[in-house]
Amino acid sequence: MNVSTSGFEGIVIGGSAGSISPLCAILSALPSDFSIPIAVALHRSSGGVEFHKALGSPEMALKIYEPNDRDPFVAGKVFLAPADYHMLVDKDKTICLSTSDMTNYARPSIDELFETAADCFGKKLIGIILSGASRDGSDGLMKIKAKGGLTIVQNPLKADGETMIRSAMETTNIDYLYSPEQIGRFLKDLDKGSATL
Amino acid sequence: MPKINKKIRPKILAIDDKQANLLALEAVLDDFECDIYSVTSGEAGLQLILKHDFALALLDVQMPVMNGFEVAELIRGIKKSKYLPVIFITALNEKEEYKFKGYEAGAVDFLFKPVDPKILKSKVGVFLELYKQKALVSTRVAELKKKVEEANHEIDIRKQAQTIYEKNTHKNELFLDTAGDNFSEIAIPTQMFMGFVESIEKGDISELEKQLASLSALIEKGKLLELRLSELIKEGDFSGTLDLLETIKMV
Repeated sequence: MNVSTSGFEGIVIGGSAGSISPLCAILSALPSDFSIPIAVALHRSSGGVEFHKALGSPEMALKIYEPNDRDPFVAGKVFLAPADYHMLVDKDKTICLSTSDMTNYARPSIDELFETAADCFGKKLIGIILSGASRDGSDGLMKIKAKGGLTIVQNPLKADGETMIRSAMETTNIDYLYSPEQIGRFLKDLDKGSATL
Repeated sequence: MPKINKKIRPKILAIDDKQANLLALEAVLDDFECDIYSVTSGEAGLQLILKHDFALALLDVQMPVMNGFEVAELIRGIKKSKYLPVIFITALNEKEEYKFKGYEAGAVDFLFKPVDPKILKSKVGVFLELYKQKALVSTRVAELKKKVEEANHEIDIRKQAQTIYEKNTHKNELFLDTAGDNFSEIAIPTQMFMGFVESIEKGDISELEKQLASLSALIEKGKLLELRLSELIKEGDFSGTLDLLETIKMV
């Protein structure tokens, strides 16, 4: 398995209403050999046509993948939580899918993904909160920060849904506040070793 | 010249899309003992806010991409800068101030262009003084917290010492109580030894032969007794008191 020269071993991204467009902007900036594994939890209804159309964009070098339970969490594709499943990262760096109760009225829950990933990767994790209308993800981002990881939020002024981002900004000392395009460039540069933290 | 405590060197963030305005601000604020971070966009300013602790932000209101009010709104939304004082610098009229909705948190003030250097210095001076006082209070609170922790630690040590003292006092009392009762046990071997010496003096061979049988056992017990006593004196610990008494009894 490739290990990024950045020292980071995982990226988790969470979003809800209005997050598909910024997610696409971020992922479009990343090359096919991007070496940090990425997991995404989005609040969504199952199998929306627009959703898959947007995320299946040919501009994206990394392909979106809805994992099976116990798939190894590796680089080369973007692990997207299947609709109506919690997606967790186990300590052995595999993906776990769960149908346990909703968290923050959501399944998949961003907090569930972020918190398990924080336990797994500690300071080698990057957490990103995008547009959304709930407060899901705030506790998870706080845990990532508490474990020494890097925290990024989308600039809420340009987001369709500010609540999720503003909630995260209020509860966690975030490291970066960027537009989706800036987040994409930052991650790309970070992986190439040309970003300054 | 305004004075700021040298130990606390405040940082001021200045955001204006026009470099010339920033240079003018820096020139006016040069008298203050502080570090000025000047940037030409709200985005760049926000990244600095996430990295540094500022005493004050000077924001130009009319900027492209993100105006001063939007920057201030984000500043208020960020956990670490929620209470950062902000001075808006605007060319517009005073009604403009009603556009900002972040009054409930940190301090807010306005300066109108063209900026009067005296008014700018006066307002900045007030905020820096407030920052200094706040920093001093924080430092003092931290010092007091440390002292309370040290005092609590000392109290714990004293409590432990008191417990050990009471425990040993109890042992000492036990030792003294039982030592009196067992004094006769020490006297018996002493009398045996004296009788042995007397037999030598008298040259009583038959008596000496009788006493010789118990002599080696007496020497062994005597050595053990000496060792225990020396340990007891050296460590000041009477934890071996009961063992000692047993030894004395055996002797």
